Amino acid sequence: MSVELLSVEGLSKRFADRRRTVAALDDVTFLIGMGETLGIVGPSGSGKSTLARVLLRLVEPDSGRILIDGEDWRALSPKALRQRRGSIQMVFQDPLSAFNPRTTIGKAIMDPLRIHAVGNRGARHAAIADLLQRVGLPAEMAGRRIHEVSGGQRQRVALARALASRPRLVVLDEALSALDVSLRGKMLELLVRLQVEEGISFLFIGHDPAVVRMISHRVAVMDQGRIVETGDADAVFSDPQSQTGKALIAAIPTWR
Amino acid sequence: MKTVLCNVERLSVSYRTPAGVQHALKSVNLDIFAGEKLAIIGESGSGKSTLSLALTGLLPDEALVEGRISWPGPGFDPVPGRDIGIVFQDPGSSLNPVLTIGDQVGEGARRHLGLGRKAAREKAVELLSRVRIPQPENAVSAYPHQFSGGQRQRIAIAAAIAAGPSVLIADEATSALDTIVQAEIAVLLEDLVKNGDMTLIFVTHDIGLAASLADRIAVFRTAELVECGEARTIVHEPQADYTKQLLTTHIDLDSPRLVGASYVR
Amino acid sequence: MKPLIRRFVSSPEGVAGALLLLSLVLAAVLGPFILSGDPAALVGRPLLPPFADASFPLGTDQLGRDVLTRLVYGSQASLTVGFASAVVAIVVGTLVGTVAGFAGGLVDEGLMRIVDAFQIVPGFLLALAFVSVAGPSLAVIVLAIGLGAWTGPARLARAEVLSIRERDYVAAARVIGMHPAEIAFREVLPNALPPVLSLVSVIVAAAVLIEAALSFLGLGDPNSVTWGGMIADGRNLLRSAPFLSIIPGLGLVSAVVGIYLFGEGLVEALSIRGRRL
Repeated sequence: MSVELLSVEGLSKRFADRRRTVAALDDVTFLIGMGETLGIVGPSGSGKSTLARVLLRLVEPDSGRILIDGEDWRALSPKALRQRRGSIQMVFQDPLSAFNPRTTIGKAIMDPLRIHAVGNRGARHAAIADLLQRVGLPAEMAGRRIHEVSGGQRQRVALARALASRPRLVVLDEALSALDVSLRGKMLELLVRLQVEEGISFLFIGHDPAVVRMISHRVAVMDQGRIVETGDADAVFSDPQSQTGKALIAAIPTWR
Repeated sequence: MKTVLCNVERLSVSYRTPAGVQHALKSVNLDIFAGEKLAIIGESGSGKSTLSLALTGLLPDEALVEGRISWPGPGFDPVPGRDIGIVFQDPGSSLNPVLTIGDQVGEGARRHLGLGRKAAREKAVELLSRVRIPQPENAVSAYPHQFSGGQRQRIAIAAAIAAGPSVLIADEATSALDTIVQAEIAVLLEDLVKNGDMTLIFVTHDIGLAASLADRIAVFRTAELVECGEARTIVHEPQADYTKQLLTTHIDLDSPRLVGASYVR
Repeated sequence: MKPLIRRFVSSPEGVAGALLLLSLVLAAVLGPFILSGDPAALVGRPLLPPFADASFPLGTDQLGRDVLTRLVYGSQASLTVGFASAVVAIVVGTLVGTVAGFAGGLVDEGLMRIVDAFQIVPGFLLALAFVSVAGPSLAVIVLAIGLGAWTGPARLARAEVLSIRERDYVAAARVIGMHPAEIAFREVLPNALPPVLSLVSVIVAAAVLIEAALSFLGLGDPNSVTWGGMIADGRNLLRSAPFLSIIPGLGLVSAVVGIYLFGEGLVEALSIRGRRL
């Protein structure tokens, strides 16, 4: 029996402006299993962020298939899609801009709970407190706004919101890149713990191979819209086969 | 031996906010030597960017400053643009989108070296080729949006060194770029400093970058200078607990992974 | 709500404007009870100057009516029309602008052409035409001024929405599965509103002045006392009894200044952390 959660096949997307067309995604194919983390690395312009947006159907691809739990994700009608959205969530790079500046953190987390009818109305406030505590934040934070909490706490809030609808897959789009270096380790530990506890799969997009390697089981290297290499994270980073992989590893400052 | 270019003495910078006085820098004492590559490391709130603004004379008017910055090296206070160049983190906002890059790169030369339009244009072409922008003769008439993030940062560097300053400050100049481009910019900065006889002060949160590029490292934490010394010493024999912590929490390819052996399907 | 009030109070212009407006509004609301007079009643000797007689502090007009009473009753019409028109303009404008900006495409095109059509006609002329056709009642005047003024808020709201649409938190709302209508009205519109509200003071002030102009021209509501009408009535006596026009004129000036200052305070209060949102 397959334990695949996500299957992506032949995903392509071109962006055209007056002068030329750019292949943001070019025949992208990969799988993610349940409870697995797939890392995506690559230079800027390699299509990593476009991949995230296409997967979340924020942008429609030109062609390709996306199967989540065996269901054709692209074939869903707008209404059906909204109902299913709870199963795949995203944490954005900049938590400050990913939250409505006028609403409280509690309301932001309440939205997915309400939209996906998680628990009954009475239980939801307790659920918000529970989610905040699970990411290591005090329950009182629900009354504050996103710009009122510290930088390190903001991304945890974003994670709490992503977890509210009990997703099977969370896409982390450069989610740690804006965090202080000393906070990254804690955040990575939190992600792994959540994965073990909940069986969530992660698509971890990053530009720093060392960070991506920490929690990825497997990793895919992208360049100019194509996946140029896939494999076990350690294997790919210790001995990259692709040109891009080699360039990424070579670019890491050597000093120890 | 090494001559002291700049001497920072008991420098404190603070701001008055509705929530009270906020200290950006507290009593910092630091020497900067001519021709060196000095890395200023710290996390957000450490004061590292405030220091680079203070050195360049770009602190906002509301800043309350105590202590002093003296420049025994040149013997006079440097003029921003002419004697000090600065490159900031976001290549998107440091370049004016409605001016050609030729105009922007040449501006420093026109203003501080008194070059005429034609001479400034030639200088711009020369600078762009120095920062390895392809086809510089065409590039001078192009606009920032036609270039990638990494290229825009190179252009910003060219603009910063246009008047031939003796000090170049790079404030998180590579933080918004991917690792490959970051490495290229680091090489470029090293080249420029060597060939141009400049002093480089670069501000970063990445201790790995600092260790590989810098001669000396100054570690900042919550507005205070924690430790300063030769790069090799700081990295291999750190004295302060905070420095040790930064080094141990640094993630590299040898750090032990948090997930076990390969996922079993 | 509390931080909103706190920010408003920190703006000296806002507080000054609020106090001025408050006194005007209080005068308009409580005045009739305190003065217990009929603005149309002929109560005293005609053309008594102000401060001459204690029972008529601001004097009487050429028919012997008490100026102070008329001033207070007149403020009701001016302020009501002013605020009501602004409400109409901002509500209609924001709704249209938000729908246009959010929906895009043909809906946007269509709505913007309608905005263009309304914008071509100068507000005062539009109000004039409306009132001439539909009759000079306060309700018609409010509608007329509102329809002339809604295009500014509409364009501004649309521009804000176009920019807000691209923000991460709107994408985040989609990712969560929020219905587009909810996104438009709960995530986007409230963030598009503050800049639009900065137009409030301009619109209210203009509305007050348009109403005064209409009344001055004799197109105001004939059943109400209005400042414009008072100014008109005193027009022929500017040499001998200038106070008849000047006093309601000062009323207009203080209303407009108060509105303007209050608007400044409002904008201050609605900006979060100094960032205009």
